[in-house]
Amino acid sequence: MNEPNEDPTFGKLFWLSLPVGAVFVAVGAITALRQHGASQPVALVAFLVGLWLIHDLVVAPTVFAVGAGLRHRVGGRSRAIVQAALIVTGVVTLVSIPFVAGWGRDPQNPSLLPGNYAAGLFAILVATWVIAGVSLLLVWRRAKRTP
Amino acid sequence: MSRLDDLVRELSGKAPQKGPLREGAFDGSRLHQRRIAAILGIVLGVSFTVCFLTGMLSHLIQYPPSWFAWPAQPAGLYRFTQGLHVATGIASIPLLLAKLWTVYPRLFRFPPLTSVAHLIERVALSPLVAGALFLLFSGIASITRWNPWPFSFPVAHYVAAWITIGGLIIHLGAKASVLRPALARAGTDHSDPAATPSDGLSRRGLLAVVFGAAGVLTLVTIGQTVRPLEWLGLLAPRKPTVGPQGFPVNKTAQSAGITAAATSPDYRLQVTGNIATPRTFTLDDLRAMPQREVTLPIVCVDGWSANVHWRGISLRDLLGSAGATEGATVEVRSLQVAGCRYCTSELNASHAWDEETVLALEANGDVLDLDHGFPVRLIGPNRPGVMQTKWVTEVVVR
Repeated sequence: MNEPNEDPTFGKLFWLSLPVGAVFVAVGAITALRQHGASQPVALVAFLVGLWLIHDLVVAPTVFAVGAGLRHRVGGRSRAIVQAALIVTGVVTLVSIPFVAGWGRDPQNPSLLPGNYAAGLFAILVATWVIAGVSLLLVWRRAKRTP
Repeated sequence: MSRLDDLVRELSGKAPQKGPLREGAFDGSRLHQRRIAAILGIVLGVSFTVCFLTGMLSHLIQYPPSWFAWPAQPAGLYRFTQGLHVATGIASIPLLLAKLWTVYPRLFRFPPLTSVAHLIERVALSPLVAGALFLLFSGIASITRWNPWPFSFPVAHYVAAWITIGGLIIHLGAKASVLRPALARAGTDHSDPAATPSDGLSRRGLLAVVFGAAGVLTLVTIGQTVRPLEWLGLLAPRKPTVGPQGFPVNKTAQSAGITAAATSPDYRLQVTGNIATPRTFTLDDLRAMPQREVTLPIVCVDGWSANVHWRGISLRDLLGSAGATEGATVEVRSLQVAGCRYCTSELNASHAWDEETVLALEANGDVLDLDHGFPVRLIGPNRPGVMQTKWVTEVVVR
């Protein structure tokens, strides 16, 4: 299953895309500098780099660590089901953080974030794991029947 | 260039022989192969392009250059484009995370750089990856009104959009040559992708789960703009029927600081500017005028929308009776203290003279709630909510 460790080949399209992409990046950078009062370039760069580092140094390694842990603990066809449920759990939980925490809530404006998001998240996760659990049962039963 | 390429390769060093960074450590995983990265990349390319175009459209509508005139009809077009912008952004979250996960091991490939072009391509990834993460993070934070930053969200989101799409264009240019072989089924995998997995998710299985997660996120948030799915909006930041008079509020009267002025008996609506005689109306004057009823959505840039039945004075009739020239543009001013971004809004000729544009006094059968803009608010078709000025006190004809 080895994939060739390919040497990327850079064709004409790459050299053509370079100035076009650079113009887009420049429009962004120039806008940030021209509206520096609103864009706060230093803080903006800190956020851009910070989120990138959080992803590359925390989120991705955590996912790989969980994946590696799973490899040792759950075998066979059950693993795919657990992986699927964990992916949905992880993504939905991540997205729900600002909703559940309610950092944006405004006591004067109850129409903003009107739901009970902790209960909503819980419901989604319960549904996910119920589906996963039923799938696991089916896989195990089939495995028992056909040893 | 070849001597420079050699130098780049030499500076890249050698692969470690052991540990998770050793050469070929991830080669065994079919999930990190090029085909899945290519498929996710194509879908993300489409979703980010949709977000970029709808976002730029929203920007043009709010800051129209001289060559751009956004029409008042079809009335629900902005509702569709902005709903699509936010929904596509939300659905992109699992796609982006999965894409970054599939290509993550490549960060540790040896040699990290093989040529000058490769170096440039790697550098160009930084605006793409950082920008994409920022766009989705700031978008989600913003629709929950969480602003953990010192900059203006619209400006930062706009800047990041240009930077990200710039990075995307270069990335597409760099990957164009490997896209076709990566997508070609033969030769990329030694197993049937649809085959029953024996050791975890298959490629097709991973894609199904990632698209499934995008679907789940869409289902539990889209109810903020698609009314029939409101009940499913477990993670929707707004519910279209929740709020005073049965629809949501963005800026409250208290936060705008207009409560005293809006409820004062001294309130007047003035019509001024390029007309023969400026006119002034009390609230009773306005109520005594012929009323027009329209059902129009209030559409927030945050992606929520709600249908509301409005009753008030047709702006077209008001302008006509004040002697404004048909086709004149109009600025509507709020009681909100001058200097804020949304204290005023411009109506181009299409919006100012549209049959459905109304200075509303009532919503859903009752006098406007203070938070919805009492005593008078602007409501017109096909406009972002931030341009539906509340607590209107002056109509200036240009």
